[in-house]
Amino acid sequence: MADTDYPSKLILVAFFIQEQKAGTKDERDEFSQELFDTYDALITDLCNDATPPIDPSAEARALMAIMAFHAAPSNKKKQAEAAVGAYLIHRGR
Amino acid sequence: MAVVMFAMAVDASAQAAAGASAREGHGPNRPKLFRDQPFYDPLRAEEHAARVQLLIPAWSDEFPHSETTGSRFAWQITLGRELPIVTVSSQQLDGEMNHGEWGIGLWTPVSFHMIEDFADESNPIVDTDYRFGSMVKFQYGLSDSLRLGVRYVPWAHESTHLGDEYVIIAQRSLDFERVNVSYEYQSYGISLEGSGPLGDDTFVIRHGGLKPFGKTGYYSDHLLGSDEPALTTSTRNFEASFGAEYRFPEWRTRHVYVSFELRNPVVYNYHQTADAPEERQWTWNLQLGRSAPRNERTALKDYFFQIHRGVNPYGQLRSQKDYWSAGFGWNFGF
Repeated sequence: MADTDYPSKLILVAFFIQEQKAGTKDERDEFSQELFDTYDALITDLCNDATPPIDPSAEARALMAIMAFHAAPSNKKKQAEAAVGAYLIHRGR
Repeated sequence: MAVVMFAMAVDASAQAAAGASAREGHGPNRPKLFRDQPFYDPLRAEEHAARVQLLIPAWSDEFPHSETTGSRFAWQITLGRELPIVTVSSQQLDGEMNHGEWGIGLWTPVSFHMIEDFADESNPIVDTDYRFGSMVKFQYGLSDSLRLGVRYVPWAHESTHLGDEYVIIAQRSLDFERVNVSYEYQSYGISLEGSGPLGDDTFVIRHGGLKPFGKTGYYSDHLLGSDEPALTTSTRNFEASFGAEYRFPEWRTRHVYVSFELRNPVVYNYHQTADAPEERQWTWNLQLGRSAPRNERTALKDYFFQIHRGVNPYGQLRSQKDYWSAGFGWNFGF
């Protein structure tokens, strides 16, 4: 698996939402990697399938991964779809 | 209190090690106190699970000492929760375990289960069962779409109580006996759960077992208010269960689901003889309903139609076989 490239400041936000504290750098790094492993490939695929396709930055992918983690659906792909859909609306698509 | 102190001690002792183990990827992370995790949620069709559930409108077969005959309106209320005490996991993200990750935790299930009859005089509360205990739940991610779960209840207690108005009516018949159904037990459960072939569908397959402690089984050998042995105690003191649940892909913000539990409980026989030995009856509970997605911020988690058939699930009325109840149900979560 690839290493996470999610910006640390966004991971701090996501970690804080879950834990209500900053945690240690190691804890946030592990959190970032797990978030990346769980959602990044799904998000990248969905962005490639968008019309027209988009090539989101690491920051945009991190935002979508955080939204996916908190999305309502039980299924991870559906969570990613909800997050990418929201991002595309934000981008005016 | 001891459980809480134990949890806090675990938390304190793990604080120093948490940073180092986190770097290793799959080591245990810092314990999380009083935070729920979906390691082994009760099957929706599981009888007497600890949750908040209303079954109304609902109907029931007549009870063993009902004055009016025939089926009747009878609602059922369950108030309870599996209270999370402490969890430890190799995964930082809350939620179900991903591939190769594991989580384990300690819960305290507490619940009350009541059924009320609206046919007999003064609408008697028929029975209320109380349960509490301790529970260990474990989950391992076999893959990103398949998880193995284990639930073990090392000790729990069930105390059952007929309603006073039901007893007043029941005492009008000469054969009524007030039996003290109250016991401690242990139970286990094994679960395989994950995503289905349609992508957004999920399935659960379960097996479990319950065994009361002690030689007297599920109830005392004497009637309430007496010290004289007058009853034959239960001897078939193990109850197996099998369950399955399937949630279809999300449709209009909810999943349609079907949940089924099959148990093989003993039919309480308080006066066993060679001609009338203790027996079992396969008992099933079926739910068909709609369920909110896991992270949906609604208090109404499920609504459903339920049919129960087999042994009456309430207290000393477990002497009644071929019992049925049915109704519309509502599961709440907060």
